[in-house]
Amino acid sequence: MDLIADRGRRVQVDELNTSKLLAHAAKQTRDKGFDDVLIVDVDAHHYENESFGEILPFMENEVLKQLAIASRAKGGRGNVAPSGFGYQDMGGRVTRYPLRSSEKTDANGPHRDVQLGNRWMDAMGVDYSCLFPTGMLSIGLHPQKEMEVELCWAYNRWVTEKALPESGGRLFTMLCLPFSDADECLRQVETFGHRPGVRGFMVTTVRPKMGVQDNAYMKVYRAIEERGLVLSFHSGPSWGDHTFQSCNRFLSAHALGFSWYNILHCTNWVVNGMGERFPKLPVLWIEAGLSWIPFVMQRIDHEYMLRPSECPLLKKKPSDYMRDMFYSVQPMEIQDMGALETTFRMMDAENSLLYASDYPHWDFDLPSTIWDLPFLTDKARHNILGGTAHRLFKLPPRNEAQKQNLIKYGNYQEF
Amino acid sequence: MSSPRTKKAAPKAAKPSTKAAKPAIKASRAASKPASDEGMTGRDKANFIKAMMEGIAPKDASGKRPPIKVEAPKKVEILRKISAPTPVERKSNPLSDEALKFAARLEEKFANGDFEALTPEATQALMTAICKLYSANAEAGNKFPVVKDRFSVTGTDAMILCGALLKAVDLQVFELGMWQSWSGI
Amino acid sequence: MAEQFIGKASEFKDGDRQIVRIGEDEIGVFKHEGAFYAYSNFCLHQGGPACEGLTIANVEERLRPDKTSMGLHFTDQMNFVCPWHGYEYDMKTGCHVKDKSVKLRKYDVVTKGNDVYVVA
Ligand code: FES
Repeated sequence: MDLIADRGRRVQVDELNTSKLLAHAAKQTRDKGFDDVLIVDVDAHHYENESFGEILPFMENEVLKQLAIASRAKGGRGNVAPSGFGYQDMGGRVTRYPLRSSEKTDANGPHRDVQLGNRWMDAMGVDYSCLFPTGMLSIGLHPQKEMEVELCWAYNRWVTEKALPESGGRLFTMLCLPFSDADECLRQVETFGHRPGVRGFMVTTVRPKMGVQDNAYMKVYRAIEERGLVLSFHSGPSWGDHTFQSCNRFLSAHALGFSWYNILHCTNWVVNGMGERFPKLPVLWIEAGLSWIPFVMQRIDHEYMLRPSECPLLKKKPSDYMRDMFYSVQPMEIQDMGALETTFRMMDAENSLLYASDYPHWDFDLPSTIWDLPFLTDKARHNILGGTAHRLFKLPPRNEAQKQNLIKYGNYQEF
Repeated sequence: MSSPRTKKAAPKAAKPSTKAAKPAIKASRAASKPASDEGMTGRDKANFIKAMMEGIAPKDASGKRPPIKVEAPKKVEILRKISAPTPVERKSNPLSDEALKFAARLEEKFANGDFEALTPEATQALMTAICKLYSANAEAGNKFPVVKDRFSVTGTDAMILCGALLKAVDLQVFELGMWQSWSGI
Repeated sequence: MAEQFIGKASEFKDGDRQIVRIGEDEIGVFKHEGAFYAYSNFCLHQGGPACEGLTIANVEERLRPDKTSMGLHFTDQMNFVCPWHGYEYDMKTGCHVKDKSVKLRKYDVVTKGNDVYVVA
């Protein structure tokens, strides 16, 4: 297969093989003894559009289903889900994007996404991954509320009925909520909340109109809390958003966008006292990096002291509520080690931070990014890589050594 | 259900770990350091120096230079071969074949001293089409030399044609220079 | 350190490369503009296979004297890109194109007749 380099040159490459591509990750796994550490990846992805042929038939409304399926037929000119601008593949420099379709999987084995998942999890030493969609992260930009509802429904059925059951329990999910319609969110929590592999629900934060504090959502949060599940917010970029239209480079829109949408909704969440209203609801903020956390803590603590009348529900500083929540680590900005250490301290990373790879996206992080941090205690290292997630998502250790490590660092729970 | 979060103590600075793992790269670098001084241990060296200073007693093994340990040959394994990028090959097509034949016929006429093989109208039409085609390619980033090599046309040929083209569209040479510096083409 | 035979010079066209394992080291050997370059295949970012990705020309942004931009252009400098996340290394130095202190371990390459050796 050919990759396009500069000035139209073509580079001949072999087909993609995730295990080969990640051979050096597998070496780290061996060298660092990751098999003995429970490692939970709370944010990995598949490309659900590759399975739309299986997903769309699960749509409920016959007319919308016909529209969606016909748009994908040969010669169809439709676009089912919103898609953004961007160059995640960096002009083909990140080769797993252009080569993705060339990877071979066993036609008689489990679902292709499961086989690919096993390859990267095995290489990285990851025991469990929370599988999220890719294109559907932009579902909040769909102009049709009813199409958003239908696509989330179909995806949630497909992932719980087709994909996860073939993963031997190693893949789990926090299902995509159609957040434009609170009643539908509730119906989907009630329908899917108890299914095997469902450990929570996820709101995509790239949305032009949504206040997480809106009264309409209280019943949804309560339903998730009652079920002992996790509510997560997954960020994304939206270059087309008017906020980012002055960005002339993908780098700028991407670097800011991922943090921005979490900054926005996390601020609304905290200021409106959601932590007081749902004290037992674990909330997880995903894929915004870490450097925004001290920034938001400083900003809103500062204004909280000046304008207490605007947040009467809060009984402690906003940053205290932020420390009560959880954060996924990727993409971790390992640039100024002192600043990173301060960030870990400010957010109480030992108890609030969860490892995430984001594989196969272009800025994925290996477990070694946490393991090798010079300022972490062994307990923090084990907690972040999997100990905290073990308790949060009720994921059992996969071997005796992992169990002993969970016990050693005070994380072990029987489920 | 109760929250999986146990009650947390106020955050405090994480203590530096005593056994922070080193990145694999550093480890592999250290491993690849050459064996020092042909395999002599510290004791070997001390004995050798002592023997040099004190003279060698007969039958004293310490005077012998210890055998040199030869570095075991390393295993060399070719993991992958990746071949060079290749320029995109432009396939020939009937129009290009025709153009090549036509150009060869014109060159032949010219070589035989026939400057008037084409009428002015025909020359204009050809020049116009080629001018547009070449510029469109260049603007699209598909740049290739306008003639095959340095000696395909003379400097005088090039200057006469450039001058004529500029004149035809009422441009001065300084405008050409300015435009080139602004457009980067 | 010793010279390790890795192949015949005639087997390398310009632009070709080989990834070789010599003992514990994994090394990318490039032939570029007639010369050989060899670097550690362990990326300095997260340890990815630094020498196994795309080779691509360096990108520069040209400015006019009045500091307005003329946009992005490929230059003649050739880089190789780690396929994991895109660290881009200068073919001739092994340095990250933006931060020269991020430098891959470089190995000497010796040719004797038609034989190519890497010193490792
Ligand atoms: S490991 Fe090479 S770019 Fe990240």
